[in-house]
Amino acid sequence: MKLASPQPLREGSSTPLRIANELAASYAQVFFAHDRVAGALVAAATFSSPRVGLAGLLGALVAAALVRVLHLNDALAARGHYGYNALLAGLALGAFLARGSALGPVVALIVFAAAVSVFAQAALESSLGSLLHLPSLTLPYVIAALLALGVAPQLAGVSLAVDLHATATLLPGPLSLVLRSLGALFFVPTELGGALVLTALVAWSRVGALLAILGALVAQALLLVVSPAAIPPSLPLVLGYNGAATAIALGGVWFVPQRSSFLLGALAVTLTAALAFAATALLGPLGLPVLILPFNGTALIVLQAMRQRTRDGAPKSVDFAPGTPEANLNYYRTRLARFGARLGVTLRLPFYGRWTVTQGVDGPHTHRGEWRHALDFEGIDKDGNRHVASGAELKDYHCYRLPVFAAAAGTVVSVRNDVPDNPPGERNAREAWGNVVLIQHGPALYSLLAHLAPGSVEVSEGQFVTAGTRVGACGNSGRSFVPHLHFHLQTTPVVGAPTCELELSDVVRQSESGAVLHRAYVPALGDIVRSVEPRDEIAALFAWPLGETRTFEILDGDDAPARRETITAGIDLLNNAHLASDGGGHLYFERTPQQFVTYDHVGPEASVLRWMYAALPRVPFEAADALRWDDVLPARHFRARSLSWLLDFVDPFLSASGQRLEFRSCREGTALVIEGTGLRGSERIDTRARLEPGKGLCAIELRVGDHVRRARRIESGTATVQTATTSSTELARMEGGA
Amino acid sequence: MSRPRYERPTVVRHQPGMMNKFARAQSARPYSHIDGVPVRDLVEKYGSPLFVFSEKTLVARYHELHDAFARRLPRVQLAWSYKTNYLDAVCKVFHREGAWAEVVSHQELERALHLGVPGDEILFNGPYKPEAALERAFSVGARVHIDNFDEILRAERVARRMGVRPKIGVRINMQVVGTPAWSRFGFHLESGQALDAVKRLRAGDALDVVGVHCHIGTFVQDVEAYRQQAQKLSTFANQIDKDLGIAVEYLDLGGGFASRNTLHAQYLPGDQTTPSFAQYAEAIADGLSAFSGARPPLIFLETGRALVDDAGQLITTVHANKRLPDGRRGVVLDAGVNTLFTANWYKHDLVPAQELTGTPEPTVFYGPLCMAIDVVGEMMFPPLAPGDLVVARTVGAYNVTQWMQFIVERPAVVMISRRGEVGVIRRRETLQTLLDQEEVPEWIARPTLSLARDVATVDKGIDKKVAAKVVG
Repeated sequence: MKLASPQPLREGSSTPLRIANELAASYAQVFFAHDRVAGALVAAATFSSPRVGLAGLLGALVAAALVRVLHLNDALAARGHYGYNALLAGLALGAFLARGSALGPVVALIVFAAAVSVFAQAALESSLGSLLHLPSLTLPYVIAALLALGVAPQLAGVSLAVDLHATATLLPGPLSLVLRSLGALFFVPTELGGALVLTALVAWSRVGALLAILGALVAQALLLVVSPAAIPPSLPLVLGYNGAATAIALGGVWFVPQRSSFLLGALAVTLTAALAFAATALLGPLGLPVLILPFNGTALIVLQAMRQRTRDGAPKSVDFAPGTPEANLNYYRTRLARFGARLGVTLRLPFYGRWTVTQGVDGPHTHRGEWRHALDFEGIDKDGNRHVASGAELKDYHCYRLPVFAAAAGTVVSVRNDVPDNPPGERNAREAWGNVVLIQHGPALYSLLAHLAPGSVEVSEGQFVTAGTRVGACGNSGRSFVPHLHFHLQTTPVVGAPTCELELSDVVRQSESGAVLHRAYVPALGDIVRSVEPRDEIAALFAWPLGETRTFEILDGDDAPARRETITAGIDLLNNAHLASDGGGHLYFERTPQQFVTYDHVGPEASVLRWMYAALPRVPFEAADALRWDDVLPARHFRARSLSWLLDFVDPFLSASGQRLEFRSCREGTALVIEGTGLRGSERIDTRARLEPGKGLCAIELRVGDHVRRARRIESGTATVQTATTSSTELARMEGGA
Repeated sequence: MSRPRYERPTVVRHQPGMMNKFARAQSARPYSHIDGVPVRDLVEKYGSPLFVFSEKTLVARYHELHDAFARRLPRVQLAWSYKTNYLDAVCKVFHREGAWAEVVSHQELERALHLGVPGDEILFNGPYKPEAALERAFSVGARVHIDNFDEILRAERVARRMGVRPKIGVRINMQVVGTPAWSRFGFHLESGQALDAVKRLRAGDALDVVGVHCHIGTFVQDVEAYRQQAQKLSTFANQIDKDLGIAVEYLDLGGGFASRNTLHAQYLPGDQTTPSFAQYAEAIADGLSAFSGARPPLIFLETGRALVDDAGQLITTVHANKRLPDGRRGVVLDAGVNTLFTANWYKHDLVPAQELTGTPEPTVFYGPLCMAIDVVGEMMFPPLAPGDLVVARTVGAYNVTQWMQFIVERPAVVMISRRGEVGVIRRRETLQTLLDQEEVPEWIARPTLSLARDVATVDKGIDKKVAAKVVG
């Protein structure tokens, strides 16, 4: 599959170990897994029929050899990218060549088919991949296997198995059929083989297993509507494993597993079934099996079709480095809860300081119908006035001629700069939008800033602007009675086109009771909004130079030091900044000009990194005591492991279930203290982190119910220097390597 | 039941020109309530005279100023000028709204720290910073603005001794249109002294120059002066970046914005001549566009007077009337220049707190001091009776820091909250307040019958050698 693995590659292992890993990966890759354990379980399943198992292993080994001879991408190879097709080709031949066939030609056929798989994979991934951005799936293996099986009867001493699918069954019909379908994915269509494959699936992903069963069952159910006479004997199993593969791929791998993706998976199985009938009708007379062709056809059609949607909603495609379906769901939910980012572009308020929304989405005046998703902003003072004096002159208005900025980086596609300002109270209906700047931020995403002051526009068409580039000044041109700024998003580059949903990031909403930082927000009528006002002194507290090592002392219940943990700031090959612990684990983070934000923690729970993730998921570089914000952490971090597996089965159908924490910061002298609170059921979660100038994080505490985790930073004189040197050497090597 | 007020007969000389072309009839608008609280009730409860501060106005002015700048500049920080009014409650309100502290003495520095202001949110200005003050400032991380070459030496010495490398700013002064050069503070820009100072600081290698400060003057009503200041500051920052490789983090434009008061020398009333915060901001933003550094600097404003003046009023009580030989009416109030120090600078806006009838006549308001300088103001006013209340408006700046303790105790100060609650923020002084500071040495207090006997006691009781030593 053309799926990038988020896992770092293990380096420095010996060749046999590497090949063993590569083989395990090939087995797991068939159902999109990167899990070595799942791979080993699948391998065991194939050996429930030793002949099939050996044939498959031979295919995978041929691929491993060929990859090295041809110098194909070894990073891809290590993830089983070339091996899985060869493996399947081997398995198929092992299963379809009759028992009595001569060994020599059989081995030759397997080697041939495996080699063709590797070639086809390399060829298809470059054409399908670069042309249509589609994965090559298991098409290479289908091509290779059909070729080999077509050739086989022509060879002396080789014949095809008569009835592959007739095996003894012990279990009740549907259950047996589901298990055998799963086994048939790897050409071991027995209940034992199926049970082993199911075990592998469960070990990899509970959601994946659930989808596989669902796919197989839906496929069987579809057979009920066909008259039994029309069903070829091989078809139930073919439908079963094609259905299972379709449901896994669409329900949980390419789309975030949720109700809608399950529905998509189930509907896609009907297409798979139709294709299976058609393929059987075409290939059957030639004496060739359908293999997994129906799944391939369905997957490519549905995937390409779903990409044509203008808004990626339910089901949500996996537009990030994918993992297991559980990981995809968790990642997407966390991203949505923490960053919004439905648009894929981070938009900021297009002005400085505090402005008030005087007409929101679905506003009563002009934000209606096609133009409903729009915002009007004005500068309003503490007394609620929009102007000083009588307001008879434009210059009386607080926001008149205030600077206006690009909300995000993009290219200016349309500019108007010559519509005169109306005197207050009058409007110009002929040039309704007045002076405008229209900026393209991405495919089908444009932002419009309208009613600007004549002559104030400072950008020109075709110019690239960054977020915060000054584009003009607030005015009163067009259909505008009083100076204000109109802002909306649209999908086409025409001024005046219908608007589309908008969302702004990192908006501070000001009220009498304080200020709240919203991670993603659609400002509403009357909201007083501004951006974060970052302070250098606060930002400096979060500086952690690359390669610098800091030691923390973890305290036990009596505040006595229990053990030490050493954490080093690093950066990975994909330029993700992270903190790495000597106890294992990484905390990914980013320090933007406005805030410190963590992205994910991978690693053990009993680590300072995990507590940082809980206590400092995000800190705006603003020292206002009145500022509050919240954040949502993945619920899995707060679950027991045993419970977590059971919950995985139902998680896609539950509403988002993150752990919400509310934060505030206060100064203690020059130190900054961040406190967080949340509720988990009836239990209180409290976090507290203290940062000091020149030292950064000094103390951290996480309290869940009666359970307290506490750590503090200790200075470690010479050790720090030594470790830092080692790290910078590592870094230099890494940079050289990259 | 209200009985008609007795109107004292007045004889007013017929004089032309009482109405001026701005039609600002100097009539007596009664000002009976402050933020909804009756002035009369305040006096009954807290005594007279009485300073009254409005939290609502403090907050409104703060945000008017902040909005005006924050909507035009990417990074703005207001620093509350302590010397203008350092009553804890007033400072607290500004800090709560987001202001840093701007202090000019060791005492003010301690005041800010006592209020819980983080050390790195304190700007330390002023020409007099003894070593102890510098040491305290560096230890809490306050931002010191260096005023002179001797202070460079002193600050370097202190920093080296403490083993720290503080971030500091350099105070400069410059020539701008319309204001007298504020040249006694900081290093002069045009003569090249400012550049020399930065070079000297860099050579000293003990302090990091991260900002430039400049205060062009006080009660500056010409926004053009600020445009020039911002532009010259930017150019100076560009120059030290280019020539010395010092990219400043901030520019501090000081204070000096005028309040709505009217100076003695001014012909037009202040509320017509004082620019709005938006006008100051527009000029400054325009001037700052000359800055060419990679990252826009943080802009500090140390506005004091224009923020707090409007929020303070002084309630006084009429004590007596008299007719002066030149025909004007004289009114004796219970507060004079001892309490209302700013009467020396402004034509204060005095208004009656109750409905007055009668013909306005030229009236001179005197304070309670038996000194000729004690004149609070002079304006057209209807006749007043003893016990009537007169409010001096727009007196929030400098009075409660520069008031004098002279022959009477200083009055109470109250603040009215945004919800209309009244709270004392400084108690009226009592005789005890003053006596608490005083001591009478033992030899004065000791009861003595006669000098001779006193000396005799000494002769007897103390060894003569010791006595001689003490005397020697």
